[in-house]
Amino acid sequence: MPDRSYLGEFELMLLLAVAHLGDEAYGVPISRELEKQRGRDVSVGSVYAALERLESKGLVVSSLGDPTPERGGKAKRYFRITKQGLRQVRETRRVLTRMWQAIPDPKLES
Amino acid sequence: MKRREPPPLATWMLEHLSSGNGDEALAGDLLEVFRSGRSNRWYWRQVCGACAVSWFNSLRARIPLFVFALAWSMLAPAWTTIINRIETTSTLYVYIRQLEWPFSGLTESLTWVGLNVGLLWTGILIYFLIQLNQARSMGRKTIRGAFLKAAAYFLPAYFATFVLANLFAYPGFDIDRRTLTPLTELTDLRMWADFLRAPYLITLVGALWKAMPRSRRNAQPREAFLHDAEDETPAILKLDPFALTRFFALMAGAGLVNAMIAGILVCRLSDTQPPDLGSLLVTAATYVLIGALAGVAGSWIYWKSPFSPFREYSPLPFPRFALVCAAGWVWVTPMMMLAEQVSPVTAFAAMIGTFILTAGLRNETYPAFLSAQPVPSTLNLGEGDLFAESTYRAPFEPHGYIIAIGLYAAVAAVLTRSNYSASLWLGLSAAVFAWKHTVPCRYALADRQGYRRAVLRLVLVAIPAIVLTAWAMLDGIAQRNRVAAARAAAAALHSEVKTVAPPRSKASSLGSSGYESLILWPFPPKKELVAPVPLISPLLAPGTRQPLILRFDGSYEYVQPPDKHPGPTAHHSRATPLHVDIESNNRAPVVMDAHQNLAGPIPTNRCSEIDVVIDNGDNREGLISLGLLLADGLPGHQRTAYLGQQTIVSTEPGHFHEKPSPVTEAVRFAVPPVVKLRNFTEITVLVLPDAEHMFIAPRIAIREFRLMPR
Repeated sequence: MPDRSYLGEFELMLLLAVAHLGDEAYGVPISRELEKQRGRDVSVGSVYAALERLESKGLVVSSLGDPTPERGGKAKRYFRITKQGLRQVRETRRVLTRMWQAIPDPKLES
Repeated sequence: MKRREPPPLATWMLEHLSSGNGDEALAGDLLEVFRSGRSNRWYWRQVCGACAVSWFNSLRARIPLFVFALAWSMLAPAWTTIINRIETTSTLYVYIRQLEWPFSGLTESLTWVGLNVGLLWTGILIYFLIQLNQARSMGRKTIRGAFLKAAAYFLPAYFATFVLANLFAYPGFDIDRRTLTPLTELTDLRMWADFLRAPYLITLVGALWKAMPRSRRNAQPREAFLHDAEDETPAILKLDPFALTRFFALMAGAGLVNAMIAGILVCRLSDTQPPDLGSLLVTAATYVLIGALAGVAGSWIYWKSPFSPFREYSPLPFPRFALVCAAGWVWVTPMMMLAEQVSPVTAFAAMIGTFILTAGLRNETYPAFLSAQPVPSTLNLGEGDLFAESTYRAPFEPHGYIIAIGLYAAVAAVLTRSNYSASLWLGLSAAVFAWKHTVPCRYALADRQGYRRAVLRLVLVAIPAIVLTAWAMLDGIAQRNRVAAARAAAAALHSEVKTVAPPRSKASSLGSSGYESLILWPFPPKKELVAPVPLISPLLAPGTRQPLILRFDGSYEYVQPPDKHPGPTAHHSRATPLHVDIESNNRAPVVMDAHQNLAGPIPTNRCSEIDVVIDNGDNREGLISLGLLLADGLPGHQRTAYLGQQTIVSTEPGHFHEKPSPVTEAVRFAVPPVVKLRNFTEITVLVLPDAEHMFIAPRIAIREFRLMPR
């Protein structure tokens, strides 16, 4: 049975960031991308918590990279959006677009 | 240039104070960003945020656990009340308290802990059953760990709560536990009841804390991640044939064990009289059905368990698996009934059942094995061709050895009357033979066709199983009647009613070989040169306290019912029962007595007790009792008095052990003050064995009688 739940704002942003970054999607660039788009600081812990939630839903998958000295020997954790995740993003966009289109322009202006 | 390091305390906090023992990737990310120019303040903010978020998520994910632990710990006061009742009323505790210190205290404490941990384990089991979907992704180690942690955490948690409760309400809560009932304690919200609940709550939360789905632990290496993301192969197809065999064997074995338990608990011989054919067949069919249903239930529990790979992707629908296996499980009931009668046919029933089950299973599951991929060995990938000729080794096929060993062991077990062992060995041989030599269909039958064939097969197999069960019941009833007759014959020896047993025909009494009855005489004692002593019985002297000791020099008589005494053709021999095995060579049991004739009459009312001192050299487990019969054999008197029966302590379950040499034991019989028998001139000891010793007389010899003066 397909999952009909819609994504929250932060989750949608995360999925889009992960999809945008492709093979280089790990904690630091994802946080930077969110900071750049939102224009404010992001807690890396929150980013990981939300990504783990998405992973448990099967919308992203993760893998461990090689440890590097500049990271204190800690490995990077790469994320990738799954087919289900992409479907969910498209579905959310479709719903949001339809709702946006249903609102008359004057209301948005005020 | 010196590399910038973040505040060490913050790093330590991140590693140790965040839920889940820190996250390596998160720590690395923070370090990477910090070294790119962020401030200490930013680092601290990130660490505190990460800790808070991780704890919040961790607690939120465990809300069902907290709710369950709270609900389950509500049962604690009621359970404590039940334990209190068990402690005060159970015979188990009476037995435990009779043990020597420190075993009594240790056993009592362990029993108490076991009862409490039992409640916790039941709760954990129910929690996993409720959360089946999540439990599947936890892993066996985590689940096993939860049970072990519960056992380890409970006592410290209980002790800590006990100390706190005493500090809070010194010198303890004023509760009259005798007035408490389990039902009222369920809703008891007083402080003392809450203190009782606390250790259970703490233990449950602690034990199940790590029992969470493994989402993060699924992170794979990068290379595997890049290639395997789209791999959605069903789990069952990733199993190798060995794992598939193991799982099928587990399912069939679980059903088998369950069917055996049902056979032991439910299937009983109906009554002492042989029932009519109709009711016999209906009862047999019911028992066979119960065995099959119990097998299906046992198998279903494992099939649907969270750890079963068949739970979602099954190569064979469970109903079809159950129908196939039921054709084997229907043989469990007759097997158990025959085993109760120590019948060698037990092993053959086991063999037939196992063969049918294994052959059917092999046939039905073969398509699954074809689709299962063997695990490739990394050692010989792309190697070996060059030296293939020289390194060729003949395939090792151990199944032939297993079948042969099983057959030999089964024959040996049948000869030693170990029918369960024989069943096991013969069943093993049959299973291996059927698995290796069944020629299965290479294609899966269509659903309807497969089901039809399985049902037909089950019906065809069930009919002989029902007939065998009916035969086992008839045989069991007949044997029970024979045993009852033997007991009656042994007990009737002291009866005053003199009945003449119908003489047996010589052919039936002798059997294929052996004697109709047997009399053993002790070896003649060596003559002692002793000073002459006055030949007076101290028992007769008024006021004496000295017992009269009579050394046994009588005979041991072995007969088979309905005979009560050895016939004129009885075989006489000189031996002690300690060194010979007197065994029945037919289906009738052996009855053993020891007779001692006295030189003169002894007044019965001068004896208060009679000790029968025996040498017990019997090394077969089973309870043996002695009965004592006094008789006045003087002409014109012919009266008897039966003093009842007493158990030989060294044959009781708690005291039995393998004896390298015979042990001496005194079995005491009280002589009632008022007995119809004035004097006695004969003492007869009746050996009353259990079913284990019915066909082989026990190795017990009478040493002496001690007559205690009144």
